[in-house]
Amino acid sequence: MSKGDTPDSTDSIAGPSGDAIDVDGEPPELEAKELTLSYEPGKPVVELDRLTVPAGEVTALVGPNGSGKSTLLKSMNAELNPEDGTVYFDGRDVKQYGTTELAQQLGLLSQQNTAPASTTVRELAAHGRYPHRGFFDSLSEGDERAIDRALERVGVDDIADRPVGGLSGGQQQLAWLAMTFAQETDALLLDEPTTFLDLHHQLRVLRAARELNEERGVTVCVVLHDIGQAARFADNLIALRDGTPYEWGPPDEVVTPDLLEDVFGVEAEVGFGPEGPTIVPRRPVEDD
Amino acid sequence: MITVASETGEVVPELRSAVSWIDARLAGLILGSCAIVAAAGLVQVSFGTYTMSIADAWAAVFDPAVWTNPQYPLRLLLGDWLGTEVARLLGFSTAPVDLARESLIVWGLRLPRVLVAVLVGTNLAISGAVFQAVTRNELASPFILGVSAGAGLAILLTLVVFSGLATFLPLIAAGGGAIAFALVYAIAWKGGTNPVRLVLAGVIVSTVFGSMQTGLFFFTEDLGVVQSAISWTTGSLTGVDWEQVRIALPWTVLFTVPLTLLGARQLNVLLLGERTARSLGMSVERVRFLLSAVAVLAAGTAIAVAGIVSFVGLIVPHMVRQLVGSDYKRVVLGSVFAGPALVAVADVGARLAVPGTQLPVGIVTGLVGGPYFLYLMRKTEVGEL
Repeated sequence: MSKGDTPDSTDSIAGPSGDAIDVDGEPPELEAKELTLSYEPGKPVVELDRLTVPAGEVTALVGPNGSGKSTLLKSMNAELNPEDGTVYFDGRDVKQYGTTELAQQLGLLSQQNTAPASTTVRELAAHGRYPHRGFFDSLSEGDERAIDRALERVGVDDIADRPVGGLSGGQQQLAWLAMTFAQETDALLLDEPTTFLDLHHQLRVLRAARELNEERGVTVCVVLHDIGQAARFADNLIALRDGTPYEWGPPDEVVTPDLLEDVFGVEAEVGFGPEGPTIVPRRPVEDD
Repeated sequence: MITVASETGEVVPELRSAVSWIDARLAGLILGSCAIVAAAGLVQVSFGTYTMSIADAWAAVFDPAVWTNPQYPLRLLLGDWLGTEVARLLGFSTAPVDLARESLIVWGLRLPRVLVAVLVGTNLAISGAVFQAVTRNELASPFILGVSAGAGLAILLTLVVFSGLATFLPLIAAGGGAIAFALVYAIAWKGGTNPVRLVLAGVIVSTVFGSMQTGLFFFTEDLGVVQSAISWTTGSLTGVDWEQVRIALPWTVLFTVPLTLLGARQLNVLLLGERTARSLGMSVERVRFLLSAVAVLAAGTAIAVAGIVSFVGLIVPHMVRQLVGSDYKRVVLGSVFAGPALVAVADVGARLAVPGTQLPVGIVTGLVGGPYFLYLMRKTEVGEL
């Protein structure tokens, strides 16, 4: 498959193995320049000069509540128009993408989701094919295969026919993840995907995202609450404080006691293990 | 349920997947609804000033003299002139027919009431189904976005102030509903809308228009006008004719039902929440507005022929969801059939409840709908409703 081939729904599913719907060789990069984001004019929530979510890697946005993580994510998905500056997706201003065009290349899993209780996991995943289908098209065989792959990747193929209303919160989140996987985009934004989940399901969500990144080279940008989890999971961290990146880079370089004190307001010890930094928080730093 | 097409055979799996979403429960609902409409219709056509037995009514409905003379039903359906022309074009006889008295009464006077009940039920039910998805609120009804208040006000203004325009009452009523809906949308718009703002704007417009309606009642001295206004604002099928069938049928068959069925997938995606719908590439605002407009058109069609029949649009999608689940393809198709069943039965009730007089059907739907809703509320687990 050549470069520059548009991710046109069914054509790209020609691979004989059925598993290699590939991104055109080079995964997209997300880049923000001179960005100012606000909900009310004159009250910026995020202000930054430059920020990159590297192509084909897993990047975690971390920071305390209200630091602008989710707001930044919204601008990447063109959900929020910047007051100033530009967000580039794959080298092009996100605002210039049509909604369907963007949805074919960039997926989003929101923090909290509700679907009608009787929807089955498979039906939910099938909605992921929405941007690839015409108004009158029914699900093609290619769509069905993409849905199967997504269910399998996330590990919910065994509960595919169960209604989501009867599932635990963690299983539901996995079902939603399967929907975004079925979208088969080149990049994926995850907005606090683990916040309300038990530990087991937190790890399952993160593992599935990691595997998707490793197998298909999908660029992943994820907002995470827990910096320890982010440090173990991501290739890059972007630590936000008051709407501005405090530091960004690989976890080994970013996670320091100073950062934890300045950004998160905790005194902590940072150890360095083979799997990245480990953080042991000790006490909150008093505000001055 | 999605069936994976088998690898052998081309046509059969495709056909099968085109209808595979119609499962046994939906099929049962459709057949059951048809049976109810047929039964209620037979009861309906056998009552009136000229009483006949159910068997006589049955015989009149299936009178061979009517069925072998397509020109007669064509004239009823299309109007005298157009019906005759079409019959001539199709090569049917246009010679005058001699029909039995029963057949004339049943076909000419009583059948249209059943047909209008069917059309009203269909339109209100799909309208409610759409509004419940668009506002993501299972308590939404066709009238939630100000439609009934706008239509009611238009009706009263016509009857009380502009009585010269009374012949256009159906159109004016539907138009009033549409204007109120546009107003609600304008109030709710703030760089976009959301379900909560739409519902709140609906409450605002309904409240103001409702007060104006009541005010107009207050200034009306003529009791006949008041009664006529009440029968319009509560919804009534008394005295409907083939004329009403001719008004409602084309809109229903050509626009409201097919457009709603086509929009079912969009409704399913809208139900996942705006953010998700958007991230899947839907132009949420445009889809929401267009689907709402279709729902207003459906509600307006029903209002134009029967006035404001309450509760049907609220209850029917609920009943259907209970039976077939929340996939909107099934909900919409189920509503197309279940709506007529409810209205047809309610209209029989409206005719028979008080001997010697006919109640507006809207009173019966309200009386039946309230307790049914209570039952739903008790049955559903706490927290969901």
